[in-house]
Formats: sequence, structure tokens, C-alpha cells
Amino acid sequence: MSQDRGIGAIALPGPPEGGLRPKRTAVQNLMNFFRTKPLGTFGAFVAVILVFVAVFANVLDTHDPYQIRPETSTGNKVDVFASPDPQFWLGTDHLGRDVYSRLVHGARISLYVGLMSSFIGCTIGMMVGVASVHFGGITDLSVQRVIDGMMAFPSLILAIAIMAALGSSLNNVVIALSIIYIPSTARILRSQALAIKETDYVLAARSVGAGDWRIIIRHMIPNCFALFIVSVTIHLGGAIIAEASLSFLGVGTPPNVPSWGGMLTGASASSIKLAPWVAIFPGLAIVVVVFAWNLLGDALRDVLDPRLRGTG
Amino acid sequence: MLRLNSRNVRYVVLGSMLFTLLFLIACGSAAPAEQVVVEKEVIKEVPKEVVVEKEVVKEVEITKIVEVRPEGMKPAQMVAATVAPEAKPEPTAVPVMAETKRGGFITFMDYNAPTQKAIWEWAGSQLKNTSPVFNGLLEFNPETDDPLDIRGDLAESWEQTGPTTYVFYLRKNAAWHDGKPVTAEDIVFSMDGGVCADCNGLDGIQGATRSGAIFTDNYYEAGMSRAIDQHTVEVETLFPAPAFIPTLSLDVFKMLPKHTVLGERKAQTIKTPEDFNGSGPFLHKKYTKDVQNEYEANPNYWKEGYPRIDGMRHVIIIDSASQMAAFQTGQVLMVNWIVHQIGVHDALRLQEELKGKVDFHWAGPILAHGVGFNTTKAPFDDVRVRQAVNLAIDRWEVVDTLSAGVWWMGSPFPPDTVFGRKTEELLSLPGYRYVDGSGTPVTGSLKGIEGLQKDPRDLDQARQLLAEAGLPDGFEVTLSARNAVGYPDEAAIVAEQLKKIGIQATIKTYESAAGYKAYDAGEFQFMVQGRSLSLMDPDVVYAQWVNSTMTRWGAGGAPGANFQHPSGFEDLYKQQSQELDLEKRKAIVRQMEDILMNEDAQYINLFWGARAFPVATQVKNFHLHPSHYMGTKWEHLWCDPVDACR
Amino acid sequence: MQAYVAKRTLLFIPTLLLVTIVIFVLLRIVPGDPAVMLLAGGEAGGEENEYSQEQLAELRAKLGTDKPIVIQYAIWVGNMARLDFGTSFFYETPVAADLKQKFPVTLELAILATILAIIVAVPMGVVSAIRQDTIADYATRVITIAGVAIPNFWLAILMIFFLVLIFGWMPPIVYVSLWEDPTSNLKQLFFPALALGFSNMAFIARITRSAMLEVFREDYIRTARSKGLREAVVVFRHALKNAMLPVVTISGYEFGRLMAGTIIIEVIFMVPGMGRLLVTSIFHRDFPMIQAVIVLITVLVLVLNLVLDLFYAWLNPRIRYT
Repeated sequence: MSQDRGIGAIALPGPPEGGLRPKRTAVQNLMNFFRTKPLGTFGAFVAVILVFVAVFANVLDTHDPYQIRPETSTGNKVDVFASPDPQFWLGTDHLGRDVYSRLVHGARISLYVGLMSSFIGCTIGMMVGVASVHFGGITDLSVQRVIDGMMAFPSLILAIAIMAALGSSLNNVVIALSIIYIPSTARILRSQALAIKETDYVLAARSVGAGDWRIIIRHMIPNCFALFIVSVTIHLGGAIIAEASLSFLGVGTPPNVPSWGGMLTGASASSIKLAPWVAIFPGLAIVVVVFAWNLLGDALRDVLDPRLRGTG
Repeated sequence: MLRLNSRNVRYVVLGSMLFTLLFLIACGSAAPAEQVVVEKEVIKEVPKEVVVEKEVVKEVEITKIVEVRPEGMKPAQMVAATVAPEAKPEPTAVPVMAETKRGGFITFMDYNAPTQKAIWEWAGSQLKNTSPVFNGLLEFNPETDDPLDIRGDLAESWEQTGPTTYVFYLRKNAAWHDGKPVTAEDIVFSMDGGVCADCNGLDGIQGATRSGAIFTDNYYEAGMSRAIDQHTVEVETLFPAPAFIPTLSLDVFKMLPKHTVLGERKAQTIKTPEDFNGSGPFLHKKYTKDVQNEYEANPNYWKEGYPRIDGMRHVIIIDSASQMAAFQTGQVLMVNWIVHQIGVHDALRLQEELKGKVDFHWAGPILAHGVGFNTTKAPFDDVRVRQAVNLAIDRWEVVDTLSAGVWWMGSPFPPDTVFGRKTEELLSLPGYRYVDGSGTPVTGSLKGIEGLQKDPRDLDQARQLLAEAGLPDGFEVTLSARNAVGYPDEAAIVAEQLKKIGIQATIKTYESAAGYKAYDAGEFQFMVQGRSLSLMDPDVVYAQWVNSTMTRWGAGGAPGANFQHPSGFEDLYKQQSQELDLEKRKAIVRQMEDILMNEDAQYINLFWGARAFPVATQVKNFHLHPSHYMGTKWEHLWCDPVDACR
Repeated sequence: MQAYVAKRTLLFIPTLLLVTIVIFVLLRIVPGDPAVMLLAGGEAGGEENEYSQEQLAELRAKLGTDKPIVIQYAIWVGNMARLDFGTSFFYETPVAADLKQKFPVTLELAILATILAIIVAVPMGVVSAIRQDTIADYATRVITIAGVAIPNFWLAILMIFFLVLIFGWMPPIVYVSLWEDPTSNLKQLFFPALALGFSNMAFIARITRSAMLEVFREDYIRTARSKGLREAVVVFRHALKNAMLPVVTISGYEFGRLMAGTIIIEVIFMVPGMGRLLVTSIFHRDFPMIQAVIVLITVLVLVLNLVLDLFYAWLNPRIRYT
């Protein structure tokens, strides 16, 4: 969480580019993306693999990820902290559960937490930012103060407090992380919305008597969408790390749930010398996936929002 | 293109030099000379140890521990002492040790920061830091392997003059750190202050009464002791209580200086440990919050020849990986309290790795973890459902998974102790039965048996009970666990095991404080919860089922609620508490255990656990005590070679 | 400018009030009673004590948690306004004394982390910008993005693991202040600072790179080059000097984040700082302590941001605040 800067920190305000670009088909766009953004392509590739693993976790696993000490081929229960072998590809953890299967199912959970929390957080953030600009005046001012307050508040502490209040569960992690992503997204999208508000088409829409919500939904939000997508992508990696941090402090997902963060914590962290595989593989999984999402996010930002180009 | 000129070369060089310097400083290339010496010694020893039998170690070692257990762990034979309260006119002689060396400084590892509530409160996290500064009236002799041996501390000797009357003769030279003598007045004052909330100016603070499951106020009320003369105290108990003397000998029951507590600085205001005015072997020098407690030997200590070391410090390390690393690098020599954070598997691995440098003692059985039910909520309001869970739980799998078989399967009273059943006996009881690969019931040790599994009869019986309760297809339920001392992992194991009889348990974990709140509000169906114990006396062990937080939770958690046992359990508890005959007391304890296992089943034990107690080999005269509430003054330790303790 | 500062400073008040309300209400919504935590005691040690309802009521009265929440809040804010931070529930020591002890530790850790990050990040960013689209550039970009992707507590665990495994060494376990023993202090704080500053390092390198690229496009660089100045002079005397502006300000903002984000690192490396104080206080439900730390961090971040904004404007005449 302390590591999740999101896009807010890098997007220095600048003039929006009302760019007129030649229309391309989706395929052309995609090919162009692959050609010009090799790192982004790699990120996209890993992201696709992650999604694949998450979707087909049930097929890809070799054991029930919750099963305590499944039987080995000799009919006995497997040891705890058993080292990797042909049957338990990445060894077993402190309760004798198959690390590989937990890792595969963990992809599903990490993706769920990452995607849901960044999506929900950024959506609410976008609405707040856009609405605050649109209504302006005292509304904008008070919303800004609230956002100031939330930004100044240490986010990890906020998340711990929310988790303690709600209790450990997957959806509560999503709620807690969503909340801490609201202020930074709201702020960055507010600056975007400020610029859009003054554009000709919004002024035109207003002059023909379009209502508040129509302007917000039909004009402002679509024009913030590129930035929104970029925010979601970049927060997604941060959310995966944040989930791990919360689990490490004992307030994240329930410990039996195979989330990557949860796999890194408690017994596996302290037993790193006894059984390095228990802590190293989930950690690597987090690093690779977050790395890939960030590459993808960077590339998407360059493509979707050229005014931010060069910051990566 | 970047070309280097003299100016930017300077930046690059300066920058990299600065970085290197920082790195070097940090990596300790500039470490003080003495540390290097320690490292050398360590390295020197490695080759001769490791080469011998690297391959075999793991298996061999684990079996060995189990064999060692009766000798090393000395479960609670000590409880026998509780039934032999006959007078001991002479204190146990301090063993003469010709080879005793003096001097040295011991660094202890401490698992958390002391609470710094008023210092007279002797909860566990407090005691480990205050114990060296005070004395008790009696103590469990820390200098012997005999766990039954109780000797005088501030009392030179004592005798029992009647069924409920004891006379303690104090040491005449004992003095507080401020130089004033320890008198009978102080003892009477401390005895009363320990059990009475409002007596003696200790308002609102109960001392040794109810911390760590110690119940001094069961036996004794304020006003029941009196000073006969300056060095003699007579104490009466409420009833003939076999557990009174052992309870009094625990480190929690410390004697306080009346003149300090009632003096200008009232007890409640004294929170900085520097102000401790005890009588003990060490003076508290300094507490650096979250870092360490430092002590130096009391130069005027009234026990001749004690303490043997010059000083000590208790360094606080809370992360378990760092705790183990500190032992690996020799930065700490021993622990000052049992450490829950280091799991058994890690401890076993560390024990192997540090063989010859650090001895691992195993303190136990001291932890009891189990499953508690909310009997006011369906489905566990039906005793048959609770019994089904009791039958379906695979305790050996819990023990084997969490501790490589070092721990004991959970029965209400710790097995293999004076009052408990033998493990072999347990194996014939429903819920504890196992069969091997060929389906033959197992009667002896469960370790290493091929194809070991729960006796199908237990599972069938469990399913039948569920069917009788109208739940033949099982049910869905929430299993709660506070996120502390391994509860969530234990919950994960139990949840998996219950699937076998169709119970689908979802685990809900709580941040520790939030968990209490939920339990107090009765917002749970069943939970994993445990405690650690000071004394394996039935008075202490069974207190949990008489009137405790657990019985309150069992009855829905509201203030004043208390789970009602079906068949006169409370009366039996009172009866055994006053029963002086060991065999008769055993019989009552057994009867109570049967009630807990069968008719009652409000709280069912998963395991009785032990924790590692690592002590470096240069620290001498350490003897493992049956619980961590004994022998924590550390006055008896000494070092050989002396300069290996720094 | 003065008007701007006055306005920003005035805006602190609603923001701070909001933060105090949020933390105050949040702590009282979160289940868990400080009195129960004090009496039951069972935390890591597993010693769970018995207590009576009378004891509980008495303790609540003593702590003042039995009063209505509005009154509690009023008392607290009133005291805070007089700079009275109150007394810790759990330790019963003045909160201010603890903060005085812990704040410098975290401050030093954050400063050290920032220094380490800048020392590594700036040369990396510069090289990457000078050699844009070369292997060095790609490598830097990959490293910087990967740096942000490593959870810092995992990095910390790996550090201890490898230090002990390879060197048989671990940072000193007893914290001493910088003034008492600088060597031992730096030995202890170097690795936590490295773990903490690693992701900052990555981030600052990215900023350096993009700032350099931006500056390279400026007219005066083109002018300098066309004058035939040597490339090194252009890079160091002109470009780097100007590109440092965003780097310094961003490092400053990041510093504020670090101050609030040291929690896990402090736990792992036994650094007795504010983060560790905060997290144990949360688990103990030590309300006065948590509230004071949060307010302190918030004020710090707010002031830091204002100072940095002004600094940025002062150095960059193109920005005018109104």
C-alpha cells in the first residue's frame, strides 16, 4: 500500500489533447500496440496468462488447495513443508497443503481482489471527481477537503481499521482497498474533468439545455475514460500488493483462503529457511504479475492518454 | 553522448563512495572486534558438528524428542506436590557447585514489550520483565531437575500447623533495594493485596489473583494472615487446599514493599520499571520502549553468592523470522518466556542447525487449544451435534501437522500427567480411536504407522448422532477464530476434518480485539480458542469449565451468563479442590473428565501443546520448569566460559 | 504568494478536523473494547485472563470510554488544541513522551531510505534518458517497474534470510540512536531503509528519466547543443540541474508517504519507530496513542506538501499560484 502510488502521483496537469487521429480498426490498433510497445505487449501477455490461470484454476490444480496433507502416492499423508517433487510440484506448506494448487487458485483470488477493488475504487473516484467539477462551488470545495483529508490519512492504517471493523473476508478486503483508492482517482480525474468542462462540446451541450446528469454521463465520463482505464490498470497491481500487506498484518483474507498475500504470511514467512518454496513462489507470483500489469498500464497510458507520455 | 570530464567524474566517484561507505558500515565490516571473535568461535565449531550424520537427522531427531519427553518435559508429575503439603521444615539446601562461575552478561530474547500497567499487576507479559526484581515467599526450585521441589524464597522455611494453617519463617537478612528489611508486615500486606481489590491502597488493582489462570483467591481471603513477629507469618486458607502451596510458589505471587506501595508514590503511579523497589536479585536499570529492558546484579542481594551473572538485558523481537535469526547469529542466548511465535517445525529445524550451540528444551504441556461452542445457537444447542464434532475431530492429525507429533492429543485434562489419562488409555475412547492400514485398532504410539486413520466407528457414530439430531446430511456453519497464536490454522484443519461428516464450515477470522467483541456478543457458532496454563493442577485446569470467559461465551457471551453443566460438575470441582488424598482426588478428576467429554461437550480439546525454550550452551544451570510461571528470576544462571556471555 | 500560503494554511483546519473526526469515529466503530483488551490481555502471548464485569465497568470509567462519543471527542479535541496528547490507555504513559521517542526514529529511517533511493535512482534515470531506447534504457525501465512490483515486506524477509544464510549476519537487534552510536545505528537502519526505499528508488528513477527527457526538448538545451558545448556539459550543467526540480519535489512527496508507510518494515527489522507503535496500538485499541500518531502524520504530510508546492513554485517561475 505504501508502494501503491497510482497514477495520481505522476500525472502532472497539462492541457488536454483534443487530438484528431485517423480512425483505425481495433485490429490495426492492436497490431500497432504490439509493434510500438514491446514491454506493454509482454505485460498484456502475462495478464492474459493470469486471467487464463484464474479462470481454469480448477483444471490446472493438482490437489484441492484447502486439503490438509493429501495422500502421497504411497498412501500416507504428505509431510508438512515437504519439498517439491513430481507429485507436489512446488512442495507443501506448513499445513501440508499443495503450494502449486494454492498458487493457481491464488491467481483467481488475487485477480479478483485486484480487479474488483481497483475497479470499484476508481469508478467511485471518477464519479466523485467528475461530479465535484460539474457542480462546482461549495460542493467542489467540500469534496476537495474530504479528499485532502483522506489523502493525508495513512492509507494502510485506514485499511487496517476498515478490515478490523468489517472482519476478515475476501469481499471486505475489496471494500477496504476500494475506499483507499477513491481519493487519488478522484483527484486526478477531477483535473481531467476540469479541462473537459471548458471544452466546446460541453459548453455546447449546456447551451442546448442538457441536464446535469446527461452532461456528466454522456460527455464528461466518456472523455475521462482513457484515464480511468489507466488508473484501474495501475491500481490493480497496487491492490495485489496491498492485499498481501494486509494479510501480513493479520487483517487480510482469512488465512485458509489461498490468496498470494495470505500464502506469504505467518508460518510461511518465518519458515523461509525450513521451506523456502512456501514463501518464495507466492512472492515471485506477485512480483511477476504486478510487474506485468504495470508494464501494461504504462503502455496503455502512452497509447490512451498521450499527454502523460514520457513519464514512464 | 556522455563523456566524462573531471567534474562529473567527481560526482560519480563521490556518489559511489558514499554508497559503498554506507553499505560497508551497514554490513558491519567496521564491526567491533569482540563481535568478530564470537563469530570465529561459532565457525570453529561448525565442521565437527555437521559432518557426521547430516542425512539422517530429521527423522531421527523427531523421534528422539518424543523419547526424551518424559525426562525433558516432566509433564505435571509436579502436581503430586500439590497433594503432599506436609511440612518441609528445612528448605532444600542450595546445591553446592564448585564449578560455579561468576560474571557474564546474558542477552535474553523477549517476545513483546511489557504493558507497563501498574507494575504490581503480574500478567504474563509483565511478569517476564518484573520477576527478576522481586521475590516470592516460596519458589519452585529452579536449580534442580526435580519439578516437584518447592523451596523457600523470602521464607527460610515453613510448616503446616493444621489442616488450613501454615507458618512461614522469613529470612532475617532479606532487604528491599532501598535497604529497608523485608518484614512480616510486608508479607501480610502482599498476601492481602494480591486477592483484594480495595485493600491496602492497591485500589482497583488485583495482583496475582486471576492472571494466567491462577486463582489464589480460591483459597485465601484478605485478613487471613497475620504477623506473629517481625519474621514469622501465619496464614490460613479457606479450606484444606492441596494446591495452595504450589500456587503460592508460582512467580506471579511476588512480595511487595509496603512502605513503597503506601508511601508517597502510590502503587498505581509507579509505572516506570526504574522505580521498582523489590527485594530481588536484579536491579532494573533501564527500559527503552520497544527495544529492551536492562538489569544489573543487585550488589547487596541477601542470598549469598546470587545472582551469578553481572547483568542481563531482555531484547524485544516480535517478528518470528527475526527471532530465529537472532539465535542463529548468536545475538541472543536464551528466551525469558515461552515464545508462541516460533512454530514447532521451525524450532526442530533450528534445534538441528544449532546443535551444540543452543539447547532446545520443550516446555509443556502448557497450552490447551480447543473448540468452544455457542450452546445458545443452532445447531450446537443440541448436545448430540457437539458430540458428533467431538467424535469427528482427528486430534492426531492436528498434533502431527502442527508439531510433528511432539504435542499431546487433547483431552480435558492433559494426558500422561498425574491426573490425566495415559495416551494409550485415550486411544480406546470414542473420538480418540485410530486404525492402521489394515484396519486394526492402534493401541500404542501413533507415530509412523502406515495408513493411519481415524477409526471408522467414530465417524459412523458421529454421522448417526447428526442423523438423530435431524441433520443427516450435515449442515453449513461458521467457525470463528481470532487471529492469534495459531487459531486460524487450527480452524483450517478442523474445518477440513468436519467435511467427512458433512459439516461445511466456513472460517471467519477476527483481528484479535474484534474477536473478543464478537464472542462477547454471542456472534459465533463455534470457535477455536485456547489458553496457556501455569500449573497442571485440577483447580487450574478445570477452572475453565466452572466459571470463566469460555463458559460465558458458551452460554451466549452476555455478562453474567454461564454455561450450565448437566450433572453437578461444579460440586465435583469443589470436592476435588479440598480432597487431600491423591487417589481419591484422581478419581474425582477422572469423573469430571468423563462429564466434559460426553454429556457436556461445550469445549472440546484439540491438543495440549509445548513450546521450545532455547538456551545457549554457555548458559549453565538452566533447568526446565514445568511451566513458564516458574523460575524466571534468573538468579541461578551462570556462564561458562564467562566471556561467552556478553 | 502570501495570500496563497494563508489560504492553504486556513484550509488545513477543515482537513485536520475531518481527519480527527474520521479517526475518532472509526476507532469507536471498530469492534474491540480497550478495557477488554487491557483486562483479557491475551495477545501474542496467549495468556488470557479472567475478569469480572465490575472490573470492566470500573476500567471503562477510568479510561473515559463510557462517556457519550460526542463528549469524548470534545474532550479530546480540546486537549489536542492545548497540545495535550493525553495518556496512553495501554501503557499509561504520556503519549507525547512516546511520540518524542519514536518520531525521530521513523524520521531517520525515512530520510535514510530517501537518500539511498536518490543516490541510486538519479544516475540510473540520467543514463536511461541519455541513452534513450538503448538496452540500458530498457533495462532501467524494466528495473524501475519491477521495483514497484516487489512487496517491501517480502523483500525484507528475503533480505534477512539471505543475510543470515550467506553472511551468518543480521543487523544489530538493539536499537541505539544515531547520536549514541552512529555506526551501530546505521548498521541497524541500512537494510530496513533499503527495503523501504527500494520502490521509491524505482519511482524516482522513472521521474528522473522523464524529467530529463522533457528538459532535452527545451529550447535552451537545443541552444546549448548548437553552441557546440560538450555533451557532458549540456547534460550535467544544464539539463540535470533543471530536471532535478521535479525529482526533488517528488522525492519530498514520497518522503511523506514513507513516514506513514514504515509499519511492516519496522516490525520485521525491530526498529522501534512510530509505525510499530501505531500498529501495536491499533491491536491494543490504545485510542489516545493512535489518534495522536494519526494527527501527527497528517499534519506532517500537509505541511510537507505545502512547503513542497511553494518550493516548486519558487524554483519554477512559470508556475503562479493564486
